[in-house]
Amino acid sequence: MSDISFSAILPELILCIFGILVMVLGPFLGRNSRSFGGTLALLGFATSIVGALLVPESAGKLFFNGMVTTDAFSIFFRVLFAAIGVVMTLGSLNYLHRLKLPTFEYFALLLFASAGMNFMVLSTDLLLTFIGLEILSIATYVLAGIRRDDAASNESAIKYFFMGSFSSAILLYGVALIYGSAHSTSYQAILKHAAAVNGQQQIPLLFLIGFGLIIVGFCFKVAVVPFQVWAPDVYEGAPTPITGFLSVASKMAGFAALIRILFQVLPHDLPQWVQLLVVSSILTMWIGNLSALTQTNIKRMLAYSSIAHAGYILIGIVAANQTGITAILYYAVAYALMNLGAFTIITILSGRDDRRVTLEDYKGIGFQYPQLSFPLTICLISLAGIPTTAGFIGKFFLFSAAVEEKMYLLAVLAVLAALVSVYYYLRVVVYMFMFEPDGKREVRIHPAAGVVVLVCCLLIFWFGLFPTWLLEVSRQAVILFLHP
Amino acid sequence: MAIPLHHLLILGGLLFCIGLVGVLLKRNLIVMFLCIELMLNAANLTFIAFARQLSQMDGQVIVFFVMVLAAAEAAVGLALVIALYRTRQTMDADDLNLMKL
Repeated sequence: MSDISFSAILPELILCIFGILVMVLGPFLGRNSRSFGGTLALLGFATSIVGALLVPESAGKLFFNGMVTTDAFSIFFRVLFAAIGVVMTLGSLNYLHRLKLPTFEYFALLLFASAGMNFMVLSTDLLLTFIGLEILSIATYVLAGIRRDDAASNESAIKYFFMGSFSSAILLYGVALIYGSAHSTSYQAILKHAAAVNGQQQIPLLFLIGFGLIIVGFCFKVAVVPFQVWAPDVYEGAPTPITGFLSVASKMAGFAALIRILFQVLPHDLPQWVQLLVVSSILTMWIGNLSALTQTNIKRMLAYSSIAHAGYILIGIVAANQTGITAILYYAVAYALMNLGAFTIITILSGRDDRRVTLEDYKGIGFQYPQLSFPLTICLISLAGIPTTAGFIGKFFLFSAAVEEKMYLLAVLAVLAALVSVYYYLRVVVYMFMFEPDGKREVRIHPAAGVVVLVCCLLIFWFGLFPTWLLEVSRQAVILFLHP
Repeated sequence: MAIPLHHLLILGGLLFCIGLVGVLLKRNLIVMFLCIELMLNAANLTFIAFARQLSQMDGQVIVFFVMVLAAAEAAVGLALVIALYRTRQTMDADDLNLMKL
């Protein structure tokens, strides 16, 4: 076969090799070289960014028998996922040390999870998408439960496992039905089949049910209404850095794969799914934001907030125009920055046993630890979508995509939902700055985590004030989905 | 005599529904896990039925991939159940209520 090209999957190979290295070398180095796993993982993610930039970009050409593409969309997300890996590694080094968690297993799983996400975005075959999804899922089940003697972490992992494998099974059955209908699992063949059946009076039931099941499976993964019930419990119980990873990386991978399936495979004049996703988007924003209002646990609050953000991203998908899809990619970066920044700070403040995550624990830390409270404020106002931050620009373009498509009701409801969300983000700020502290507490800021927080905050403002470059990169990455 | 395609598809669909309802109704974690396996195998059966109908190898190869993934999932899932049992001494999904409001 001539289309086997290892340079097309270079970043994934790097991630897998480093993952295996971390796992194999771990037992030899033993417990006294804790920082080694982190260093190796950091090296792996950094090399993977370079590898992703070196991958020759070719929109039309497929590799590995039509399974792998190296288009700009996949490269965008491969760089983003590797960068998230760098942030995760730096942000969780001290956390692992503080809680005496197994570092080698942690970083190996993080590397494998990133490889899985990459395969989800570069695949042009339902089978490979499914395998990538499973690589990601199985690694994150373990990561959610990596605190084996902690009841909350166990419970979170079990819930995540059952919800995840349940949705994978639904998705797989959908793939089976599509295979029966289109006689292949490759996106090209399915698109050809879809175009053929679209002209007929009645679209085959097998094809419709298959696609319905695939979309349901992905909706579980990205936690949009009505498939969001698992997310708050899982996010609350998982170790804090992993909560950040789940709410950012695995959600973005799900959305990226969903975008590719919806825009590259489904015929564009098949309107049934749009109506359903519009309703789902509105419900997701409102249920997420309204439930977040009453939360007293900050991890649970951010879990509901991440559900609401999935609703905002859905607006871009249902609008399906250039502004919308470009905004999704821009928002993916902005959301990664603000959420990972917030979770890194929450991790630093979470205390010796990762329990200090209620609003009460944030009383009065504003002036006690200004080096943490000001960055957290920046991340939260960006999540709320206040101007000059990246979160504002992202929301603005997502909502204007809906206006362009004359979905005024959707846009108005989205703006109102975003207004509601300001309340619970700013409540944290109020707790930090307007209450007296309950007493001294010891907080150590690891330099690596400090750098991450600083960079996230600077980039939130940078992309908020000068969004042109990132918007242009995003636009280049989605050009292949836009049909004249 | 060959079994017609739609018999296999109906069997696959039934197995899938049994698994789906089982996950939603059963409360024992192991039984729920077996129901998920049932759903995966329903998908496998559907793949094989189509592959035979189309005289293709693709569907059969996919089944091997799915079996490997199911095995990996089983290894992780059972390990998680054991870890849970060690800390909580329970196998009942209804007891997983640590984080409810």
